[in-house]
Amino acid sequence: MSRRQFIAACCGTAAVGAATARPLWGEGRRDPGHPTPRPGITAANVLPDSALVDFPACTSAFQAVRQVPQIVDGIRCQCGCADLPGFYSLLSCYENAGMARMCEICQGEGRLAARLHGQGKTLDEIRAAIDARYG
Amino acid sequence: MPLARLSCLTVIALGAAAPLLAQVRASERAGVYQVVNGTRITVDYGRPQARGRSPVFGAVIPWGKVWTPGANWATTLEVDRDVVMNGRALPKGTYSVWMEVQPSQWTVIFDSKAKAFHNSPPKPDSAQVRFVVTPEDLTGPDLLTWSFTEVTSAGCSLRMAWAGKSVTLRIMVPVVPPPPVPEEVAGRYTGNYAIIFGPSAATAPAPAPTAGDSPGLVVSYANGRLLGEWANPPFDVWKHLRFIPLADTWFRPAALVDGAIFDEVTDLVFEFALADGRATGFEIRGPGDRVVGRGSRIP
Repeated sequence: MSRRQFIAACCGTAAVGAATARPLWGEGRRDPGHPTPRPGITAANVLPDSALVDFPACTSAFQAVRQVPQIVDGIRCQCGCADLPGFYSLLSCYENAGMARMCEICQGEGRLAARLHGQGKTLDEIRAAIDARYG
Repeated sequence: MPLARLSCLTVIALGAAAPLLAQVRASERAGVYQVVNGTRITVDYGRPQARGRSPVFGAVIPWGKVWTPGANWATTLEVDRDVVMNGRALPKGTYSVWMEVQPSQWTVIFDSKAKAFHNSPPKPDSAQVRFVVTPEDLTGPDLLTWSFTEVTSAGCSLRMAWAGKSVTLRIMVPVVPPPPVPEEVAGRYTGNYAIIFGPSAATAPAPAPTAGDSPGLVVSYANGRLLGEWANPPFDVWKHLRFIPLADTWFRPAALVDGAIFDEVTDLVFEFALADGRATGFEIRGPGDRVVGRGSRIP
C-alpha cells in the first residue's frame, strides 16, 4: 500500500480524490484573495443529503457547511476551482454540481472552516488557517 | 427567425470558425514545466522535425546563426522566481531563448523580449543573459525536445535535444529555509508522546500513557528546529521528522534524510493542544481535515 493509499484509507475517502488533489498543492500558493460573503447568503442551495448517497464520506463536510454558509461564502477554495465560471466561493463547491462530493480539499476546507468557527475564530482567522493548510 | 436563415447563419459561423479550431503546423507547439522547491520553470516552444534533413546543425542551421531552439515563434522560458542559470543570475520573468551555434561551442542567450519570431533574433545587448555551453553529440531525436532530466531540492537540469545535438542547462532555484522555531516556543512541545496513527485513530480515544511508558514519538529541539523521532512510523522515511510551523500550534511534518528535508508531507498537519503553556497532546489531520492520528504526552 502506498503512502497515499494509506492516508486515503485513514481518511475514509476515495484515493482518487486525494491523488487528484495533491498535484495542485505543490505548485505554490495561488491568488489568496478571498471573496466577500454575500449579504443574506444561506445554505438553501447546498446539496441535500439525498444527493450524497453515493458519496457517504463527504456527508459530514456538507453537514458542516450547512451550519456556516456565511463563513464558507467568504473563503476562496484552494483546490483550483475558484476561477471556474459560476464559482463565487467555497460555498459554490457545495452547490449545483457539488464538486465537493469528490474533492477532498473542498471537504477539508469546509470541515476546517466549521470547526474553527465553532472554536470562536473570526472569518479572517479562518481564512488565514485555510491559506496555511491548503494554500 | 426563419429556420432556413438560422441554419445558414450557423453554417457561415462554423465555416468562419474552422480555421481557428484546426491549424496544422509542421512544427506543432508544445510546452513543459517543472516545479522545483516552489519555483516553477516553464518552456514553451515549437517542435521542428528533422524529416530526413541531415546534418541539421552546420547545414540547415548554418554555423554562426543565432537560432531559437524551436520553431516559428521563439522558444520562451519563464521562471516565477529569480534563479541561477549556468552560474548566471536570471531574474524572474519570461525570456525568448536563442542559441548561437558553432561547431564546438554554442552561446545560449536569454532575451527579455519574449515575443519574437524565429527570423528576428535579438541583437547583442548587455541586458541579455548569455553564456557558452558545449553541446553533446547523441543519436536523434528527430523531434526537437525540451525536457527536465534531473531534479533535486535545489535545482534541475533542462535539456534541449535535436538532430544529433543536445544542450543541458543547469538551473539553481532559491532555497527558502523553513522558519526557525524560537527555543521558548519549542519548549512547549518537546517531550515524549504516545501516538496512534491509522484508520482507527478517527474514532479511537487519545492514548492514555502512564509514566515510564516508552515513547512512540520523541519531540526535541536543536538549532531552531523542532524535531521528531517516530519509533514505529508507517513509513520508514518518516522516522526522522522536522516540524515546520504552519500556524499557532500547527506544524507540518517533513521527512529528514541525513539531516536534510527530503519531503514535506503537505497533506498532514500536527495540531497540538496546549494547557498552561505546554502541549498535552496532538491530533494529526489529513487533507480532508479528518483525524488520522493522535498523540498524548507521557507524564
